[in-house]
Amino acid sequence: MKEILILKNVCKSFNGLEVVKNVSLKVKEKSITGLIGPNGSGKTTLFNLISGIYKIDNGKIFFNGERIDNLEPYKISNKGIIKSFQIPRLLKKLTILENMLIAAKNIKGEEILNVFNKNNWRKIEEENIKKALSILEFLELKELRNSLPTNISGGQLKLLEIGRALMCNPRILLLDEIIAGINPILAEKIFRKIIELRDNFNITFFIIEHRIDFLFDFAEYIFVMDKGKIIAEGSPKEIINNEKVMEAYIGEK
Amino acid sequence: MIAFILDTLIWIALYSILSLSLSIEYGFTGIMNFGKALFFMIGAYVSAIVTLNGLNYFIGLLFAILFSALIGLILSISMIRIREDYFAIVTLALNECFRIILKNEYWIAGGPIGLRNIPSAFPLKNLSYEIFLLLNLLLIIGILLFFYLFLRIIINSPYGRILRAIREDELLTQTLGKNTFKYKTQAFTIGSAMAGAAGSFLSQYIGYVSTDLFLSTTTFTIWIMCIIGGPSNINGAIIGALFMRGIERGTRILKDYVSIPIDPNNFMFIITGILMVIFIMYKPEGILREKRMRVE
Repeated sequence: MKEILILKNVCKSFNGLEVVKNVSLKVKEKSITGLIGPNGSGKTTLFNLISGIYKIDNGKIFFNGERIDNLEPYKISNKGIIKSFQIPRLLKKLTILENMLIAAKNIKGEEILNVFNKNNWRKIEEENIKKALSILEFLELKELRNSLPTNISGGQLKLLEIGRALMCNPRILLLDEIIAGINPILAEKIFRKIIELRDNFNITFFIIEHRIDFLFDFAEYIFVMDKGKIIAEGSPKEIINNEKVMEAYIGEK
Repeated sequence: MIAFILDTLIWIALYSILSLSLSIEYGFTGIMNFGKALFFMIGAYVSAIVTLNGLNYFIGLLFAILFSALIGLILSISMIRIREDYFAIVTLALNECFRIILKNEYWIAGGPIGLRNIPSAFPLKNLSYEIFLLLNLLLIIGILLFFYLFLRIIINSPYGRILRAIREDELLTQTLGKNTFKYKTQAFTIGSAMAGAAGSFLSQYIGYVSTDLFLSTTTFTIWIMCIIGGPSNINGAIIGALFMRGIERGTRILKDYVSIPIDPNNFMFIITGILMVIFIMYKPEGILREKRMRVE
């Protein structure tokens, strides 16, 4: 299978502090790839670099053979790279359903000159609403569609964050600790959904997760980061038996 | 008395347009525009210059809208990327810069004297004052209605949803694939065009323009109307204008009936200030709050 996302020698520092050091990695298309590492190892920063929220200092990022590291975040997003946020970021004064719809595409309805003719965009809007409601139903949030995100629980916010990412028609989803704070039964259901999406819609998943039990059950390939570097990579089995990884998490023997 | 009422209604409608224009910028898109009086002024001057050169008022109105939209577009492209609080400072300063330049440069538009004898939109002879006011009222309500319906369509579309998303979280909206820069620029341009139209009406209505009509206090009045009425609701913007003009005119009438120990003008400022504080503390969303989408 070909590689959809390639990072070559990516570096990033904040005020002299090197957060991501010379990271190179390849994510295969249609795979579920995990990224693990201790707190502060630079995982989220790496995701922010891929999605263009931060600009990289050095190196190159390729998506589907195309260089993307110099593009603006919205252009990267439109290429199909969608990121979920570790701490849910939601639009507080828009309803749950609107929070979902904002991620959908309605090319005509989003252009000022086209909004005056409702026929231009009403049909797509209705389809988007249908899609959003079905995703909300899956996430057990459908009843809350008309309430504000400020009125729902932390776990539900995380679910909404996933739901919104699914609305985008992504080619690759960068999921940042999606199941933290979600009950195990639903978490398992979410991972099963991830596999279903991968199989049916050819979506690639790149996942940061601390719940290694879940991740190792579902992921095919794992990268391990520590102090801004990739210290190990391989299948979940190889990673479990890797001494370097143990050292990074628990300390030297 | 009829003239007084008509005049009051005209001013309410005029300020409704301004308040609406701030509502699309601040209430829906989150742009802190503290230079509203600048575009009001540009519209007034452009329209005045056009009509003083013998052209019809409606051509002047069109020029005023286009010209203030153009200035709004140029300014927003150059500075909309800066953070919102700095944007407020920059627009406030720009307002003063433009005003002081106009005031000191005679060749542009008369300097401190301003422009006088601006032809009315209704240059009919033998027109009674009440009819003149009524025609003006119809004109301004027409302009208001046009912009009101325009905004109503915009904010109830996916386009409006993106504007509101930008207000809540610009970075997030960007990562969801929306070119927020484009949307903010457009919202600012629309707001500027609306303020320009209001300025154009003012210049023909009172027949003269001078820079002293467009001090920053005008901007602040519009802000107060917008915040009290409900910035994220287009009906709220109009309610705000009604409310504030009501207080202003009401205090003037009040002095005929009740003896208050202070000047009615100052009394108005006191009431406005107190109301502003009360609203920001206890009802920050304004009299009318944002409409929510409901889907069964």
